[in-house]
Amino acid sequence: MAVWDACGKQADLPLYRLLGGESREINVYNFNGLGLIGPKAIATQAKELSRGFGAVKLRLGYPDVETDIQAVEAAIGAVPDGMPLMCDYNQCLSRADTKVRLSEIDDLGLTWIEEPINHDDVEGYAGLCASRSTPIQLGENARNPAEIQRLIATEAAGFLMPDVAKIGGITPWMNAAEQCAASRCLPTCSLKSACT
Amino acid sequence: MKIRNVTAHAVLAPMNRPVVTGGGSVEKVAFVLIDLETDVGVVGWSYVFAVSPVLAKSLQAPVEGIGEGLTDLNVAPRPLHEKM
Repeated sequence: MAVWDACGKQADLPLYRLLGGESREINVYNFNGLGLIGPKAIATQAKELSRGFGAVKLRLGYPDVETDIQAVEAAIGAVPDGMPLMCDYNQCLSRADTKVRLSEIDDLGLTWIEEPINHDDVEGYAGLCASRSTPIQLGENARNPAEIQRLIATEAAGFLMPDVAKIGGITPWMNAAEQCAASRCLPTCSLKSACT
Repeated sequence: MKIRNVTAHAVLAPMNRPVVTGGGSVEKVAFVLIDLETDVGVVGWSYVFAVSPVLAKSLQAPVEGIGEGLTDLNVAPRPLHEKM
């Protein structure tokens, strides 16, 4: 990343121009806040955090699935009508728990369900993807493009979000994105903005 | 343009809005900031995410060690990536 940054600065071009792209509007979701703070607080935060964004993402993984559902419904009720909503389990569920939970939240209209089980349980994810309609989001923890390729080949995810730092920089991120494009698997972007 | 020096700084930044996830609570974020100095005065910036302050500090030496091996090489992303 630092090498690409130096190239861009020397060429006096932003990275997207250096890589052959153009400036265009994209869909952006807000992933700040919205932790495991309970349905009531979720409603208040979701209303605030949805302003200026096209979607919001909340964390799930409460002690029981009923609270997961209440948190999602609280968020749906708080954001503008029709605004897409995503959820992230941060790898906190077991395989067995995941099967039960995901069948309960599968019809809530979520855009994606992110990392319910360990990120490297590829076979587990392939099984989950085969049995539900809500897409699984995966790939943030991929350490190289070959890991992304394996997720594509095993149909372990509906969306892939290679993280530019975790995958090793701009060059391997571009290689992973090409693999996603070749298989018509939509890459979404995972960017870290820790202090916002 | 050639690489002259790479320095790494461990950073611990507080989050304005701590996030409680199914994997734990995140109130401060540890990462490493990287400066890649070149012979023409341009400095490239980057970061590496680290799970904890201990990890961030321990990443400083390997990042700077990799940087030492790149000294005097051309600032060309793909050849450098192949080398790394």
